[in-house]
Amino acid sequence: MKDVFVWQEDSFTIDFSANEITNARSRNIIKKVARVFEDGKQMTQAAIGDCASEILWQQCLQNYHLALPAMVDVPRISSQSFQHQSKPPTTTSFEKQIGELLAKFSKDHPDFIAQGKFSLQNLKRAYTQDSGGTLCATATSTNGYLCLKYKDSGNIIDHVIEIGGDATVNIDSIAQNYSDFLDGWTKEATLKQGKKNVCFVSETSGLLAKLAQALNPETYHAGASLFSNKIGTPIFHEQFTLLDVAVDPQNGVYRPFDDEGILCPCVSRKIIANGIFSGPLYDLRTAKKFHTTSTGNAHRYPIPQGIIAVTPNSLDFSAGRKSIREYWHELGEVIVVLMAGGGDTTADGNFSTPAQLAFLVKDGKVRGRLPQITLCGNICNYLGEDFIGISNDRMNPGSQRAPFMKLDVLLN
Amino acid sequence: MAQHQALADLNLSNFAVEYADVRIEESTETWIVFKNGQQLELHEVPIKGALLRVYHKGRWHEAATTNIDGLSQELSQLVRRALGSSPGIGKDLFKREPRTHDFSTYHRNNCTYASLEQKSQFCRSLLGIVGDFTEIVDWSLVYADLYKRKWFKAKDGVEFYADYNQAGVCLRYSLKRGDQLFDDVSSVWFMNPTGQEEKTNQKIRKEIQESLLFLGAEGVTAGKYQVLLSPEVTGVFAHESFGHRSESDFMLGDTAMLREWRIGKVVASPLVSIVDEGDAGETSGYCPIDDEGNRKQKTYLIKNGKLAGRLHGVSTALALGEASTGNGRAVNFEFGPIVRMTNTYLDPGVQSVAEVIVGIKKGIYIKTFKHGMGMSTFTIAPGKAYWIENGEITRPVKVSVISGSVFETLMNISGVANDFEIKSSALGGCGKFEQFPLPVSYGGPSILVDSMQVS
Repeated sequence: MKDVFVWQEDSFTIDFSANEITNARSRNIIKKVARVFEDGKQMTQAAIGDCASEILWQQCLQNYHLALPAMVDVPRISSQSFQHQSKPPTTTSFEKQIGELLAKFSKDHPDFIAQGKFSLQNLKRAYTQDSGGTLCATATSTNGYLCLKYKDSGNIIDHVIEIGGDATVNIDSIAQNYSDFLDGWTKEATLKQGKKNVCFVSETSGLLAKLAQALNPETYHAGASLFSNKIGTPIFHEQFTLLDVAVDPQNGVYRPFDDEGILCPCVSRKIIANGIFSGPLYDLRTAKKFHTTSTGNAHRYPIPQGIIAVTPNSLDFSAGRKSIREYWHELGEVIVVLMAGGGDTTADGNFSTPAQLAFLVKDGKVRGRLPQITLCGNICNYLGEDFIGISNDRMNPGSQRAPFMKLDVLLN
Repeated sequence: MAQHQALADLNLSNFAVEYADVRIEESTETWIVFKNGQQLELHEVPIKGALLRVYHKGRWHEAATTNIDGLSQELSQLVRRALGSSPGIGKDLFKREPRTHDFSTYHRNNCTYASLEQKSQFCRSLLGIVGDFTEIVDWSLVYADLYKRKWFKAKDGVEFYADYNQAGVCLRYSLKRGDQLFDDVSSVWFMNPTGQEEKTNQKIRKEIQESLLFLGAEGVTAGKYQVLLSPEVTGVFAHESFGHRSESDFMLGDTAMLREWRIGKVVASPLVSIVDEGDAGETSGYCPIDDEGNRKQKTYLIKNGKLAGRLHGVSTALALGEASTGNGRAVNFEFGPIVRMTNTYLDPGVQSVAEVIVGIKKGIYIKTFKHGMGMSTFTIAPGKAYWIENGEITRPVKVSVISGSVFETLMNISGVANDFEIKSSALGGCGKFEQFPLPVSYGGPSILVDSMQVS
């Protein structure tokens, strides 16, 4: 049996710096990885650049003496095609939108300098078996970021606004949701140390990193995961539901099948449902090893030369009952975290992160920017007894719904 | 040499734009991966592609392609796009003297001299280590190498050929004893795995032995402490705290910051000198010439506590009216060059480590790190950390993160030791915007910081 996976990217990107467009770039890149399964063995050959599948399969066979024992039983596929329809703007109108965003941003927020990029990307992923079956997924997406710097702040970046969505994303409105914060930038709020209501509106990667690691099947079955032996057990607050989302093109996620050609069994999988852990994620190899089925979570990284690893497609939280702003009103006082990079969680679940950008919100209104603070808590507590809720909205396409919780605040 | 010929066939002076350049890259990467005893991957990957750039009427236009056979058409198309686009705000480019550089550094010793079979055998020679430690419950061993060759040609007559090589192996492991867990990593960097078995084996075993001490170690009580950073952590601190701040694309458009950041301003303790130097021997940050065809300069970012320089590619140098320092780097042909570091380090002092810590009653020693990040505050997530008690490094302690304001921390450096080391890595690298992982190296001596947030 032979198969080949092809990633073909055709994209157009506009870079900007100091509020001006500086660069327009196109990418036309093809990447492939081919596999041959023969005599209970498997061989792999990858290439960047166009190379016929037959040549890659021949190269696989040339390394037969180094073949590895076959680790997976690859199921035969029937041809299916997936396409997310969203009409992309022309490159000219895309560039015009970005120009308008920058002009409007400069006018509305003259004390800030923007740099960043926005891309229109057409990505085709195709998985083909030599028996003739092909899975093909094509989607056009928009993604990018706006790095903001307050003039004379002394910092290299003060704020990052990221977006990811389909081709209909309205780029020129992405800064609007943040205008309360940008307007309140120069007001300084004060705070005492202690346990506080905290909301992460746009940077949850630190919070989610340990959860993602804990979902790895090998870690789980080795007993080294925070969730080991806890399937079916309440581990977090009953209102906490964590999703692995495979298809949500409006938020930049479109993976109807994984990098082994396994159809994702559902658009979004509940990994933790109402606080109860439902089980780790699997690819074909780990599913075989642990006598279960793949959850469609095989990701090859880096593409195409890296290995297949079990990785969530896109972690998100199930929508709660209130919007971000409704929570702000209800909670009275909330620390709203816009940037919290570089944090980490120990193997015991102790999480700590500096908040590079956080605001104090009282009674729904932004009262001022907080000095540099450190946020700490154990994951079992802040998603357990100290969990408050999840918003039902997002700050921007591509960001997660906002989690609210109580965390210890340390003044730096 | 097919790539050389592809460039020779391109007559860039035919194109009616101010400037154009083409960078062709041809690489071979090897990946060998074991996970919990099972070999998951063993393959070599050929990579071939090109980045084409045009500068016209104050704006850059770029195209990344894997269509090497069609470079002339790709360039024609890019030029058409540039000629039809609206003008930008960039200034006229610097004039350069036509020159051809040859930096074929690794042609006699690089990772391609070991066969895939030899590389696989090298990895297998390390597998016995894991079985000797019953506490290891989950592990992965990754071997990766890269040999890259670049051919560059610009319309102004600057051309270069350069190669780059790195190889290394990394063992990630989870230790468990009862309910106690500890995750750690051990990595080794070299040019070629041939003859590296014994040294690598010894280093990894020693580091696992040390990791075992952390099972059952107490967690730190969050607060401010005197902190001693090891040479590798000093290096990542220099890179994250001040290196990124010295990348001058972050200063564009901020005239107030430029006034504030005048050369000669005191920004650190007088004990501190930080350097970016890409041409200093075998490191993973080796970069004698950047991806715009400019020689890398040894650049002091801080000298004796005073601001001494900043890092530039062509665009930032033009915008700020300064000279390029040869720091326009791209992670690979898929991207255009942006301002990046190379090999960044803090200069050594004269005291021994024992002399530096002699007066500390209770502090923390950060020996290794998992990751670091630098913005307004920098953060480092430690791997192994120890208490310092009454002037001596004593017991292990578990720490999530150390963090601090960059400038306060630079001012708070009160001791610089003489145990200088450079840390190179073949797995991972520096990330900036969408470009990751760029090979860099970093280092310095052990340094003492009088007050840092530890949590």
